[in-house]
Order: sequence, then structure tokens, then C-alpha cells
Amino acid sequence: MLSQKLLQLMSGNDAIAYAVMQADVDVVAAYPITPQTVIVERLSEHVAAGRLDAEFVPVESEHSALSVCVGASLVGARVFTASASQGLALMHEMLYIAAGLRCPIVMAVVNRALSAPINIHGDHSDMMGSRDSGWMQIFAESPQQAYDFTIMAYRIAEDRNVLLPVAVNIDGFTVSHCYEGVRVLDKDEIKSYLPRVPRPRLDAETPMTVGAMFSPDYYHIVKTEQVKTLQQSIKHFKEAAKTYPARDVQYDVTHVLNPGSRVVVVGLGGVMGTVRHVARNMDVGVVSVRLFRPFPVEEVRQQLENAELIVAIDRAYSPGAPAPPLASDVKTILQDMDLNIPVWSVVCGLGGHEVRLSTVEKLLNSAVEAAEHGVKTRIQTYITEEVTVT
Amino acid sequence: MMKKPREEHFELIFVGRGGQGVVTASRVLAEAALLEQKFVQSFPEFGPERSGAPVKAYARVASAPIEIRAPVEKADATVFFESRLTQVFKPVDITHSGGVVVIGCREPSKLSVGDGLQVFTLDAQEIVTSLQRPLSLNMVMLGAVASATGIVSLDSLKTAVGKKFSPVDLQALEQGFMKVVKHETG
Repeated sequence: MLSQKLLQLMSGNDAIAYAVMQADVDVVAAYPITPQTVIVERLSEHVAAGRLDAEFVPVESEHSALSVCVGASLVGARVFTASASQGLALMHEMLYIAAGLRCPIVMAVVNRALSAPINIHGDHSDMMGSRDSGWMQIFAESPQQAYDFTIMAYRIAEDRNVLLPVAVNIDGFTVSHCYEGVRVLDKDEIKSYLPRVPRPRLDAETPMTVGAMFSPDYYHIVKTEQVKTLQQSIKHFKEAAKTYPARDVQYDVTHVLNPGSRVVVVGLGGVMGTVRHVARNMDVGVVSVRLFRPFPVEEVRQQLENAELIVAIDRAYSPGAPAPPLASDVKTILQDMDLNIPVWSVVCGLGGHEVRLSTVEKLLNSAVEAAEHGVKTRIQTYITEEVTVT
Repeated sequence: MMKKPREEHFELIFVGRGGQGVVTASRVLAEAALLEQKFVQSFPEFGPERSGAPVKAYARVASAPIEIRAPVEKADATVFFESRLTQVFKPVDITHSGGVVVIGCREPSKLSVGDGLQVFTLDAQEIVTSLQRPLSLNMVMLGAVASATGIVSLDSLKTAVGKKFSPVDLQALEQGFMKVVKHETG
């Protein structure tokens, strides 16, 4: 039994700020935005109270926040920022620079809808807009995972074989403002899990140039190398999960419930917890994707190949695309496997639209019934309380 | 203690007005249950914060990890900070049949809550007035729901409240626990 002081009631935002404090970061540069604000507030309190010895840079915009992080990271500092929605959008060009310059920055993204119309509530549109920026993208479903994945993110990002920025996503409000018991690690455990590993860095004594112009003959080489590294970082995620000093969980790139079921639901983020709660007593498999970029193709493939019906749940549209982001990935995997399994592409929870237990029950019941009747129909739909899938 | 929680997965809805500490009540209950090594979850109904407007907060207490990330549609126990709010959210609509409804109420004889519920009442306003601390209303209601459901012990609540709140809040909590009574319909 753990000592009580390591079990605390925390919101998702509290948990991330606590993890960042314990990770002993050197620089925090962030601009507050709903629903991420609490992370920035807590970190400024930790710095002011002397619990965290870091340079806290209260920047004037998110573009500057990430710019500060890039500069600080390049001189070897451990850095942190957090954003959401419009803030992440304002960072957009710097996202690519952070990844291209191989800066091991960790950023919390408290997923929120994008304007217009204005909406401060949760969905995945913000991160999906940054999907191809070259960052590792992890999705945490609970305050506990928000804490654990933030600590793990530093281990992965700073690995000499990775050196890439990592975004830890939590759902706006449903995770960020939800209070649960969080088991935190003690100081010594974190210290040995997150050693200070020397890395190539800007240094006045040994001058070098980063971010120089690359001609067409060379640019593609750097980019291809970067993409390969991102793809290979999956094994570093697994290593970080395996060596993580938490006692009662073993994380992986996906979480699988009821493997081998006729109906398999695939999705990201907190809504998958609700799906699992419903699916536990049904013949429905649930694959919760924890590492979204790089996509765990092999692990997801294994769970899909024997399904008769796949339900892919997205909390974002990809306007004009043949399918929403996660459904596109799922369909690509099926095509590469030469498999013709019908996919129901379901978008839900846009702009904080509640995904109720009763809604999920109706969806899963419809899917099971369709699978029993040898479903052939492909569906793309936005799901509301009424649940009409035919 | 009048009723044991019927399952290891117990859900509560707190109903009050913006500014009455509804969200805090839900969080303190979760903190107290966490002290008892239970799995807990506490979150408000997300939306604009408006002082005086009806608000809901949710709590879950369970013996196994809680995975649901959806609001409570029908609770095992609902807590109404004032009786008028039973007109805004009907107890039968948001409480399971046989569930517990705790209502802060001056004139319980005038209550009409509906059938199939275990109703508990107390004059919460009278308690906070006598303590000269209107802001302790949420503590009174917390004490009342602990007594009515047994979902968390008074001791755990006192520990959680004692960490962050004043001695008057502890008194409010205890009085709520002691003064809540089963409402006899008829």
C-alpha cells in the first residue's frame, strides 16, 4: 500500500503542473488559455514558492511561448509549455521549427475546439490541425495518465535517439477539470527515471549553427531522417512505459479491452473510458490509442484483423477529406492489410458536446446488432443523443 | 447511518446555485472518500459560471477504477441545496428509483418530490444563520448527505474539511450530519 501522501486529489491540469514541477524543468514559457489556464497558474505558484527552480517567462503570445522554449531547449534546458485551441493555432509555425530543430520540448495540449463559432469546450480539432507538425502526440484519458505521461514524455523526448518534441494531450474540461485520485512518484524515483542526459547544444565555447537554409538537394534528407526518427520513437515510448516506476499500471502505445471481439471500437482520449465502461459486459473490443503520432500501426493492426465491424471514433472533422483523422488512419491500415472490413466512422463530442453513457450504449448495441446480421454498410456520421446509425 | 450504498459504484449529483460552493462540496466529498482508499471522481457541469444560476456538480465513489467520463444522468443520491431547485431539476428525473434525495428545506411538509425515493431534509439555512456563516451551506449539505447515504464517514469528511477550511465549517458539517432527518411522505 502506498503512503497516503503520494495519493492526492488532483484535476488533470493540477496533475500535469505537478509532474512538470517534479520533472525539475529549467524553463517554463506559456500563455494562459482556457481550459489550460490552471497549468500555467500552478506552475507560476510552484516557481514563486520556490518549489520549482525554473525561469518562468510570462510571454505575450503562444508564438513567443514556443519560441522561448525552442531557444532554451537548444542551449540544453529542460523546458515546458502548455496551450490549447487558438493558442496552439498561433504556435503553428513554431511547432514545425521545434520538431525540425529536434528540440525535446514537452507541451501539454488541453484539447479544445477552434473558432468560429467561439467555443471554449473540448474536442480534438486543435491537435488534429497540428497533426503533421512532426511532434510525438500522446493522449491521456485521466488525471493519473496526464501525470504519468508528462513524466514519461521527458524521458522519451530527451532520449539521444529521439530528440523530438512531445505533446501530451488531455481533453479540455472532462479531464483537465475533473478531480480524481492521482498517485505521484517520489522525488528520488523521478530523479533516476529522468536523468540529465547531455545532448548537442548551442554553446558559445564551441559555436555551431542550427536552423540554417537547406537547398533542395539536402532539405529532403533532413526531413526524411526526422520522419524516420519519429516512426522509430514508438520503441522509445515502449521503453519509457516499461521502465516507468509506477507500481500498478503497465502502459503501452494502445490499451486493449476484450481482444478478439466481433466489433472493435478504436478511439482517442477520455471518451474511450466511457466506451470501455459500456463495453466491459459486451462482445465489443475497445482499442484506446495512447500514442497517436507515431501511429502504432502494428499494434492496432493486430486488434483489427479479425473484426467484423470497426467503429472509429473521432472528436474532430477533417473537412473535405474522405474520412476524419483517426478513421483515415484505420482505413489506411485495413487497405495495407488487404482487408475489407466495414468501418463506421463516428464523430462525436465536438465543442464539448456531452458523450453520454446512454449514447454510447445505443451506439454499441447498434454495432453489435449490425455485426450479427453481417453488416456491409460503411457509415460516416456525427453522433447525437438520438444515435441513428443504419 | 441510515442506508449503505447499494453498490461499489456510487454516483451523486449536487444541485445548488452558482456561488453556494456546489463544486467544492463535490470535491470535498471526493477528497474524503479518497482518504478511505476509494476510487473517486468529481467534476462540475461545464458551462458559463454565473452567480445565482442553478448549477450541478457530480461525484463518483467506487471500489474499482472509474473509467466513465460522462456526466451522471441518474444518480444514486442527489443533494439539493435549496428546495426550490427541485422545480428546476426534478428529483425523479435525476435520481434512480429507490435512491436518496437530500433537500435543504425550511418547510418539509410542503415538499412534493415524487414516489419511489428516499427523501431526507434539514433546515440548512437555519443552521448557517445560527452559525452566522452563509458560505458554510455546502458543508451543511455535505454532512447531511454523508449521514443519509453512509457513502463516506463523518471522520473522513472532517479530515478533508479541516485541512482547508475553518472551524466554523467543521461545525456546519457536523450539524448537517446530525440534523438531517428522513422525510415521511403522506
